[in-house]
Amino acid sequence: MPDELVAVTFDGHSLQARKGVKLIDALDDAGINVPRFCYHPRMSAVGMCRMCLVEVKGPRGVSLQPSCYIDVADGMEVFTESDAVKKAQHGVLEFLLANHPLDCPVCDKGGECPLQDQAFAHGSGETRFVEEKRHYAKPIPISRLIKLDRERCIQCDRCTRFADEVAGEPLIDFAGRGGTLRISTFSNVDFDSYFSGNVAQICPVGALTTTPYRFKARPWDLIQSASTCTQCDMGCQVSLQSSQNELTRMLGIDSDAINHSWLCDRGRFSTSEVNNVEHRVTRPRLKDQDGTVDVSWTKALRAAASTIKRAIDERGASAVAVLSGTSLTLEDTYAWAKLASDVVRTNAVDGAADVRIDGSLLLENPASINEALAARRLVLFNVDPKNELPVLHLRLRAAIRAGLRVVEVNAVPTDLTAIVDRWIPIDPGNLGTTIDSVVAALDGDLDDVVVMAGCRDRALGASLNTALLGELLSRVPRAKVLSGIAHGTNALAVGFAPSAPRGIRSISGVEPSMNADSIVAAALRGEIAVLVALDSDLMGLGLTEDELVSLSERTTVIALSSFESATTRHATIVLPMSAFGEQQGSTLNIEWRHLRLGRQVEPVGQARSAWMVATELASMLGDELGFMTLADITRELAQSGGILSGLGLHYFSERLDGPLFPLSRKEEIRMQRVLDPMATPGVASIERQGANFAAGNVVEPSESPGFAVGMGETPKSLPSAKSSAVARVIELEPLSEGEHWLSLVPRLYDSSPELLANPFLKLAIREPVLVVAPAVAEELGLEDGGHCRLVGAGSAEVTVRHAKDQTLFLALHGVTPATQQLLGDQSWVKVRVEKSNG
Amino acid sequence: MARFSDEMLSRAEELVALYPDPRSATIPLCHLAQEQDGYVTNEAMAHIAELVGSTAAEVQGTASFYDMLKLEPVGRYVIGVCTNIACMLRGAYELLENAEEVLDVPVGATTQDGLFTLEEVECIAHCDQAPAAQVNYRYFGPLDRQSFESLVSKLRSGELNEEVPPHGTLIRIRREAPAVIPMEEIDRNRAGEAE
Repeated sequence: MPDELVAVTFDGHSLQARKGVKLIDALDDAGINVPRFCYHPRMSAVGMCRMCLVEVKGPRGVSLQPSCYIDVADGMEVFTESDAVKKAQHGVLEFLLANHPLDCPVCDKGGECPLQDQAFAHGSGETRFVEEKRHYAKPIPISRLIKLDRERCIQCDRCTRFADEVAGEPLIDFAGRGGTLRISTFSNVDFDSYFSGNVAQICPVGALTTTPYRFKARPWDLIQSASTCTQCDMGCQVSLQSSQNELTRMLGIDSDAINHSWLCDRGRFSTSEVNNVEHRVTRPRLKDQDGTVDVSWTKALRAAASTIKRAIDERGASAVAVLSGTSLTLEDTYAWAKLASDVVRTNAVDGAADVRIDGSLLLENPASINEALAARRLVLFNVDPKNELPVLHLRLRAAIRAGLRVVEVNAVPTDLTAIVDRWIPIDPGNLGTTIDSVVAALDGDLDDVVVMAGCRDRALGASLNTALLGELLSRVPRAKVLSGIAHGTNALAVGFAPSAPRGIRSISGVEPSMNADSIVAAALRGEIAVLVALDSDLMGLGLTEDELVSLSERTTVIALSSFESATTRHATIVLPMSAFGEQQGSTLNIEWRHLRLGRQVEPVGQARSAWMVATELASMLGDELGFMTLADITRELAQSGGILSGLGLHYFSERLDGPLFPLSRKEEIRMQRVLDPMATPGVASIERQGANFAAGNVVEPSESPGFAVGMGETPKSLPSAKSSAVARVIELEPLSEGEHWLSLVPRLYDSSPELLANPFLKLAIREPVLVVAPAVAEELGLEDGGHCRLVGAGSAEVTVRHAKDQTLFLALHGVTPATQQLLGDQSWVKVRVEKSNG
Repeated sequence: MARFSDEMLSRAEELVALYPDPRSATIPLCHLAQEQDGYVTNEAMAHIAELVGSTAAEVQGTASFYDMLKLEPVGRYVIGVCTNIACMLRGAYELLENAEEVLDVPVGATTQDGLFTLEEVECIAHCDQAPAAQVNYRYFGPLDRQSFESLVSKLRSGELNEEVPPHGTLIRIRREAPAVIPMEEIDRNRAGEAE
């Protein structure tokens, strides 16, 4: 919908401005930069700093008004460069600088500091302030990750507004008043938020700094590239910055389609794990009778190839299995998918172990993130955005504040439960009515519905999850679907997983039919001769270390990995893989948007990209994958006939956010906002963030040159799980005496090899917690803070906490190797609870 | 010295119920905490946050804004000597110096026995009795060294207990909240007025 326009006069030029926007935005649109500190386009205006004063003509003559705080109006006449405005700017800056220390040479912000820049541009040049300035104890750690230098603070309210409005965790607030106003946490309660890093990025001075980056580099020494965070499949756009071949930091870029400039801490500080060489696999190595020896790549690859060849010859192709983790690029995934299906010809591959749902449900009628947030109704089905796709949680909060109506369907409440329209529990004791309640909650409003489908609860079997979702989609036939699954989009798109539907595949050879669980089970039974673990820790799939040892005795484990893990410790052949920031490529996010990955540093040691390893292995196995460069892979994907038909790197130069797939999807992007120039210090200029920024973002396939190939093969209709017999809700077997339903849900900081390699974030890992509804706790005699033992397929010792939310039964928070032991292959996990003696 | 006692808690819940948005009760609850402990303790701020559905940091942010809410322990009697212009002309600075000597503490400090905290305050609207001082917001004046000494000794002996409650207690008369007027009635009345 085109915006309504009003006629305005800015500095004597007659212009048109969008109706209803803030004057400061209208001035930005017109290319007139007004200095500012407190205004942030993604947060509400507060008019705190008074730096954006401009003269506005009114019925009583011209007067100074904060341009961030008034709406643009028809006939408005504005002066931004008059003497009065200049004098006001001098005055405000002098006031702000009265107490601001002149420690720019040692301040991390120096060189990219909005206060420094604006003092040069608009300041009076000299100080009249001779008194002693404020002094505070410094630095104050307001969390493990954020440090506060109070005397630098100019009290713009950006960080506190972010914590309150955007993150919804007001753990920092102003304390005091006037000259002693200061940012403060409460007593001993840290600013413990998944999103704390953002406050350092939006701080217009050096008051808030991140511990990992503090005193690490000077901004003018940093080199950067545009990239995408790959910690989850949200696809947050980032500026990846490095100095002296070491990643220094990541900043969020304001992408209208995706992350609105925010990042979660898990993503923002993931650079620290890449840098931690001690936890990285740096050289190929082999294990033989004498122990482990470092070898050359050639020797290691030859050993791998001969093992694979022998396994195929002796026990058939299915005896070779490939499991892939979460951090492979699209190109890596495709190369390995092709190796497995066309060269090895095995059906035992799973690159999307996290996708415990029929993938075809995700692609029948896909929605983009923006579509989901603009829909009349959004159904969150079995997803926990905060712990799985953190930045989406922020987007959802903002959308809900703006009036989005959300129906949440979950077995365990999330942090959104308190603010959604309706929460509908998935109650294993009463499954039959779940979908009825969801449909009823939509109030007959079935036309503009988006279902965000996930598989958050590990205790829910894949078939049950699919059946529930299938029923929901068949009852709301026009609903669009957005994937809420944090990992595995790349693997689904190329067909590197049994859960990937046939219509979207880019590979055409042998189809995967064994999933990760059945592969691991087969390996434990000794039916797999060679197991290739691609950046995948088998303990993350629910193996204990003992099981891993016995598995590695019966099966040759080939581990291609960036980080050391239990799997690399026990593997026969270990190959070093380049990590995030060390290789170019691209990736897909949950809305099937194609996003670029930047290479900013050299791979550690002898690490190589996974796709290169696949190509070399293929040629050692006497075959060819048919590509030598990344561009070859892109070309092949473009012509594959799968969902990625028409793929091309030229889109990256055409639009900031990358195109949506399938390309037949047209996308309405709302009016592009001008970036907050201070949100990405060091990437200050709009031009440097992407080409054609002002020209709008809509890609019309018919207008784009050079991708005609393959478009005709874009799947028009995908095989449907909706219409198939699966869409009948399974009745669960009732509980027997002493049994309880259990939910197992992930948290953002659940132990994984990457997280353990991160010196800053590993401190955030917590033991699993069993949250119990108070009534159930009483029945079982479980005390708040006590311990108990859960016995399911395996058993686990856990800490108990009484639920303060609407938890219905037993909810185990924290997916770890130990808690995954509890999972069997039932439709819903049942456990017995034993009081522990300790 | 901590969270609200049972009696205070029931009063707190009454206060919260007075407002459409529980957060509006933050400041009244801070006064209640101050009445219980003499100042707003950290535990009380955490408890208030639970009661009004905000975070302790926000309660601290609010409480630290206001001079009448103390976040550090103060004496049973907080003595504020006015040094604004009317009192100053009538010898407020001498009074303040005398007060420091009599209590043997500098401005801003609390006596060893925890009875008195001395403060310098701006106009307390008691100019007709300048130089004036307030003790827990009860006014005294005009004061000189002698009358100040006698005021302190009366406070110490408990002679003024009736008049000056311990710091934090704003009033000792408890008033019941009036019955809630239903919205319909208000609307009806308004409609009547409009006609």
